[in-house]
Amino acid sequence: MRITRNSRWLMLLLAVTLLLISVTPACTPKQAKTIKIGQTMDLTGPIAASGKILVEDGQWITKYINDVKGGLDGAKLEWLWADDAFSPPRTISAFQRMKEDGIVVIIVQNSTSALALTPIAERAQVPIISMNAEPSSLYPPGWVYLAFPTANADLFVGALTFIKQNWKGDQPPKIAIMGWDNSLGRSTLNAKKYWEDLGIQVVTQDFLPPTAVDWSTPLVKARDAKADFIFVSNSHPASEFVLRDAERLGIRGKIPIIMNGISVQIDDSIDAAGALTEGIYWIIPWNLSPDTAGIKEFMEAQQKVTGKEPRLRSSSMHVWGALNVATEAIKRASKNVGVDKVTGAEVKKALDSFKDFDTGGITPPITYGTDNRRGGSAVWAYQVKNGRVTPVSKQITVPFVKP
Amino acid sequence: MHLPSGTYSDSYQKDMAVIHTRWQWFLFIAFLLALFLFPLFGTTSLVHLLNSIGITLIAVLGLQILTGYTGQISLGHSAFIALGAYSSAMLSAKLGLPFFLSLPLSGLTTAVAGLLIGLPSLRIKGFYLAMATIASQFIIIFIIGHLKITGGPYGMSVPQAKLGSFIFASERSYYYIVLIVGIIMTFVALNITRTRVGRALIAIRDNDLAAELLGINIFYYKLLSFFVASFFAGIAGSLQAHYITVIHPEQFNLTDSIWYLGMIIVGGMGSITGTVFGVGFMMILRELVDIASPIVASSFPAIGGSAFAALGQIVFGLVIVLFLIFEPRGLYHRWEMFKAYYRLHPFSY
Repeated sequence: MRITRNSRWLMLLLAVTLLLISVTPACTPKQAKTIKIGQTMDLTGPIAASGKILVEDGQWITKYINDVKGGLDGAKLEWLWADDAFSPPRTISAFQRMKEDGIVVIIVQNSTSALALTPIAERAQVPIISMNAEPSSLYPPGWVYLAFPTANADLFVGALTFIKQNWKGDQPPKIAIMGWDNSLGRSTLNAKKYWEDLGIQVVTQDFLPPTAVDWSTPLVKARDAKADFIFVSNSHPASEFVLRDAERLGIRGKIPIIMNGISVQIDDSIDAAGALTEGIYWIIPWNLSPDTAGIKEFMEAQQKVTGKEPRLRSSSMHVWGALNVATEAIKRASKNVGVDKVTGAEVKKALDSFKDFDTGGITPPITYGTDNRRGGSAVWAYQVKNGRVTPVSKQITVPFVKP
Repeated sequence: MHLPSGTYSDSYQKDMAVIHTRWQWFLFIAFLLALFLFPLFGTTSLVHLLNSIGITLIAVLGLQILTGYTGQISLGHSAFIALGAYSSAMLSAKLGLPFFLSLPLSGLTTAVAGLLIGLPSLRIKGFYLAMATIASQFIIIFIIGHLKITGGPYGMSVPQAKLGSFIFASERSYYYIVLIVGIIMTFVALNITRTRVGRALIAIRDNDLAAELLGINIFYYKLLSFFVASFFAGIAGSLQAHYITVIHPEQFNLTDSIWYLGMIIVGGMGSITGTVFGVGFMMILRELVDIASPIVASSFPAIGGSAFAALGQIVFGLVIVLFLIFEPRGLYHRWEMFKAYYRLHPFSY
């Protein structure tokens, strides 16, 4: 390729132009004040099925906060999101970029990312709101806050309490635990003291890799151990594999199956597994009754913003809860120091001031404070009846299962 | 390799030198200076990106020696990094050893483990060796995830690197550790490939039967290759553990092992410089995809954000396939072609 003198000048001109574009500030109209919230989720990793819902819901909820609720005390909410593929180094990369964009709070999807981000977020003075958390990230109390849900281990205690409340047999109830072979699945083992105190016997404990598609072995072991209940702690779509294998082995309908409702997407399970979900129990850390003020607001908001028939997906409460808590904290910080001076440190102070924060009945009122970072403190039991998620218990208060 | 016009070697040392001219020395020193001064000007996210690139580079250099120079395919490199991370974490957290001692020790621990994993390579090669290394990936991670001492599925916290009373807590301070270790490891890797050992490894890669007939002990050199590669992975794992300060079995997965192979394909197999190009290119590409996905998704809200995030996976796969088809010798070959053109322009002789 011959480079002529003319083309050399052209290349030089192009390089100078690009340089000028990169260093000259963009001429944009004056923007209203914007407050930014960052969010990372898994869109390409092992729990991508959950992450997808978070993005969809986060977009319309942000629009609702800005267009319908008028933003945050005159400031516009900007919701920045990034894929972290369930990898803490990528969570940190995403956080660093968002911090430079000026976020005042970061929402993360899982406990591992929250733990890895903690020292960096603390240095950057940005609080973390986690959608799922293990006790090790919440205790001792620091910069990680759990929004609406309880921790996984607490939810299992709720399941145990539900069993105890409804058990009518003479012998102590027997439960088989199965789940993913990771912190989500194994979190149930933290509740050993509680099942012993409640007099419930754990007959089998089986954990399979997140990629497992065949759950026959743990199901057969549960059946052979004559378990009265099976508790499953994994996520969609693995939950459907469990139901399929339970049906094939003749276990479904004979041994009640209780699913972990923090991670399992009930609605996606019903869509995917259809009749197989009939009669299955879910323990969920929020009150999904349509009469609840918070749920009514959620449904109306969804319809107003999307223009479509609203859909109450249990996993939507993750984003709804996290953004509600975050925006409430930002509003309080804004009242304290003015909307232009809201920083991560001010948002953290505001979060610590949460006392009986009303979530519209979706969870019991949230109180943080210097010694508590757990959001929700109760669970509800649901069962799928005629294709509909139906409550079968009142609120069950659960303790904080500390590490 | 083309040398600049008028440059010639009149001794073996000059012929084997990496840097031949004063101008090349000047550029090299300027480059090092720029690297050392970068944290003063770069943003925190860019410094973090360079830290990630540096740590990944050290790991992939090891894989380049094993796969690029010795021809032993390994799809379990991520597990070796995990071994390095966990051994360093345990040496620091449980035994209280200082970081600068646990760093080389974790490399050695991983290297010894690499020797064991490398034993099948004496009997099997190619596809079968790849399967054996995949098995080692799963076995190592399974063991790590089920031991109480490693924290099991919950992972473990790792103390930050310290030197005396100074804690390398920030990205900028840790950058210098990664930079210095990275320079040393690159220097070591380059010199391994330029010595008798490197020539033996290349001979094994090109034709192990002929190499054996020439008197090269392929048993010894294959194991040595695994040892060196695992040492590099162990060092990278230790650096990552003390940087992120939380390690978890799910961080070290098969997908990462495959991407490391992709990096050496893109950069150029059998080239240390190519490793630098490949790692830098792929990591920057991933960062750009992560930045672009939400921006593009907001322009096409009907399609959904997760679709654009998944585009990143498509982009990486496509890049590797395109390089295999159109530039199988990688970015390093393109760089050599550019240098040759630049040096010979406007005349070729």
